[in-house]
Amino acid sequence: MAGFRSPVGAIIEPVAPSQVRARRRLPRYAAGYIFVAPVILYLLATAVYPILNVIGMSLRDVAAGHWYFVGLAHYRQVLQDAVFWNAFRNTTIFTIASTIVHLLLGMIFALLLHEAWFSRGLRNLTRGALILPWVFSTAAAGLMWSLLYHPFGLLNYLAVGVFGRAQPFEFLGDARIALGSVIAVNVWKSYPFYMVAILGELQAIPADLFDAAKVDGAGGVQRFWYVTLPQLRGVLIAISTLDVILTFGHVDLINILTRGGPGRATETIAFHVYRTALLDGNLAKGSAISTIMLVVLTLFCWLYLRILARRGSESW
Amino acid sequence: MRSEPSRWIPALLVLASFLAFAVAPYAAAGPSTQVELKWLEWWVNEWGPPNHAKLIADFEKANPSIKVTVVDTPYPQMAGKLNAAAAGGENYDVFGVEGTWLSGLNKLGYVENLDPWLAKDKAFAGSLTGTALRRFGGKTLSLCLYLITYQFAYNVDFFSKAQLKAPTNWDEFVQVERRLRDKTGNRYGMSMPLSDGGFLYGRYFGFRLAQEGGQLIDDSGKVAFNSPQGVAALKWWKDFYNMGLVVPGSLGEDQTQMLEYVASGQVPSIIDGPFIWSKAKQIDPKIKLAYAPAWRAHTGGYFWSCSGVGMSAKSPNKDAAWKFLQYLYSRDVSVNMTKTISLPWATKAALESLKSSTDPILKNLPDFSNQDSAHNIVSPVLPEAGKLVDALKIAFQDGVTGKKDPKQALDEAAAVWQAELDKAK
Repeated sequence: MAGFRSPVGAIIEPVAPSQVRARRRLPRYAAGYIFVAPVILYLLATAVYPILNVIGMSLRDVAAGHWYFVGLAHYRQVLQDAVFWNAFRNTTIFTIASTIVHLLLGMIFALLLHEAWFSRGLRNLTRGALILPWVFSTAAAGLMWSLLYHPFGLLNYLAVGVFGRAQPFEFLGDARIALGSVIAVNVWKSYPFYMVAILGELQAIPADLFDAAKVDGAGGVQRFWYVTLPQLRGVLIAISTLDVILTFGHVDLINILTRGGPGRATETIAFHVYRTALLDGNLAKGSAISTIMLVVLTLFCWLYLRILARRGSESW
Repeated sequence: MRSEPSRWIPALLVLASFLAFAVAPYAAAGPSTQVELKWLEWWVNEWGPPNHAKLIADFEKANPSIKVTVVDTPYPQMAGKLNAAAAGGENYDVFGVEGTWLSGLNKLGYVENLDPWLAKDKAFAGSLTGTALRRFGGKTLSLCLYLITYQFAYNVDFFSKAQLKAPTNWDEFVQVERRLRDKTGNRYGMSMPLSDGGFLYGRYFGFRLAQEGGQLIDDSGKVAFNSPQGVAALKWWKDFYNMGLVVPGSLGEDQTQMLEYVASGQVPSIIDGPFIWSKAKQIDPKIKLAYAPAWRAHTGGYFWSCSGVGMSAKSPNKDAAWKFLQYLYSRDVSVNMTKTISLPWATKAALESLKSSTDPILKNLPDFSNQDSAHNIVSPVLPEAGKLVDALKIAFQDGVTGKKDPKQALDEAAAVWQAELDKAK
């Protein structure tokens, strides 16, 4: 079979009919679907199916091992329950306070580490030390802080032994300060995540932007506000959204430190779900609370991203 | 010329892998007649691994057709694991279970009704103590493995050095705690963990309630812990708590911390169950704890609860599971385990053996049980038990800290209890 010459002079051999048939079996776009199919299947199995299952379970109840449809009864029950609203309030405080302080601390440390220090070695050492809390598992961090908060722990030793306080602080036993104490641990545990992400982004900002700002007469604060912050916008949106999602769903830290107490002072929605579904065995009601949590979180993230996107288009 | 790879080679590999996977479990299982019994529980460390291993080995030796696979799970994860198994259809033929978990598991259809099994074996049923059957909804859902009551336990060596005697009543208890409190050395006589509802339910409120002559639920099924006796019980603990004699931070303190205090000698006394000594010995093998003799306030009643075992309604090996339960409660095992691990098995033979016991914890149990049995409170199996115990925990915490008046706090908890009890009817 003879070939023919293309407009640029290359000789193109005609394709055998059998090869043409083989190539035409699947349309061109199908290859894309085949490549993403494993990921889609994985997501269906590990995310979509469990979510649908939880929603289905929330609409049913069980007696003697037989599940039956009850419609929205669990949702009505949950939404009329003062314990749920208390958990919702605690979760909101816990999430917002943690995220804001994470952001502030992460930003401050990242900016400090981004500056030129008199000793590069000391800066690297400080950077390593500041990342350290992130390395701890939540269980280890919880245990360590429960010892620090202990009536005979280091903090109370300082309070009573050094500063002469009459009674030790009940960090985890006093309803007025317990939630704050748990937030402090969460802040300590997770600020390095922000710090590392912001530091990485800071190092990627072109130096000539700052030079140009200097030439225009911008001071340090103005350079931060008009150059640094807009450049960090993308990473701040990404990590704060992720942080809200993770903090909203915290169970382990609460379980290790306070188990939701004293009273219900530190009971978050995620812990309420854990207690209702897994400790009390009320899976249907637990599923209803989980579904509400999912809806709230999705709405929050959607709204948050929307507001930020709008602000982004208007500049910071 | 390069030869084409044969299509047979991958096909043979696939077939070989399939056969290997399909045959492996049967090949590893050994004789086809052997039954595998899965036992989900949390007692390996509590009883000591060698004691536990011997218990299983002796059973397997006597019953070569049954192999017991122990799924040892830390206690805090047990309830979650059992509920997940019940919801997900995972089988554990026999499982350790607390009374507070039973109603949820029963709802999921996971718990075998033991009444027909007990009816078939009257001698076995007759060998158990009267408080061993955990009944709910007209069915026996589990058997108490060992009986637990709560009493003042103290560090014998510490008391001896301090020339203190074990208190014989509640007033002496307060006096002893006052003497143990050393304000200059920041030393406390006792820790009182109040963060866990299940913990304070029996140890503090239930104990004093029994001694006040009260009940959790009366004979007509009505909630009764908000009675004058219940209020008096909570007021007593409120007064005690506010004397500043217990380690600060009670509301944030859990059992683990309490155990560390006791085992390390930081606090020399505690109110706890008979297992406290064996647990403390795992941290300090030399520690010696003893129970104070039986106390009496308005009555001599004690609060009784238990950890028990149940059988799965979905077990394919119910006969083998029942055989295992019979073994666990047999005369030899119950008497031997009571002696070895200092936990009073819920059999008549085990309780009988305590009469001649020299164990400083166990020897007192017959007195606790018998001095005023009419006023003993046996922890009931409750519907939505987690929620109810939690409501009582909040009432107790609010009561002792003065956040609420004891009567008001107990009335609120009683309303939660009554609503659930009525719903269960």
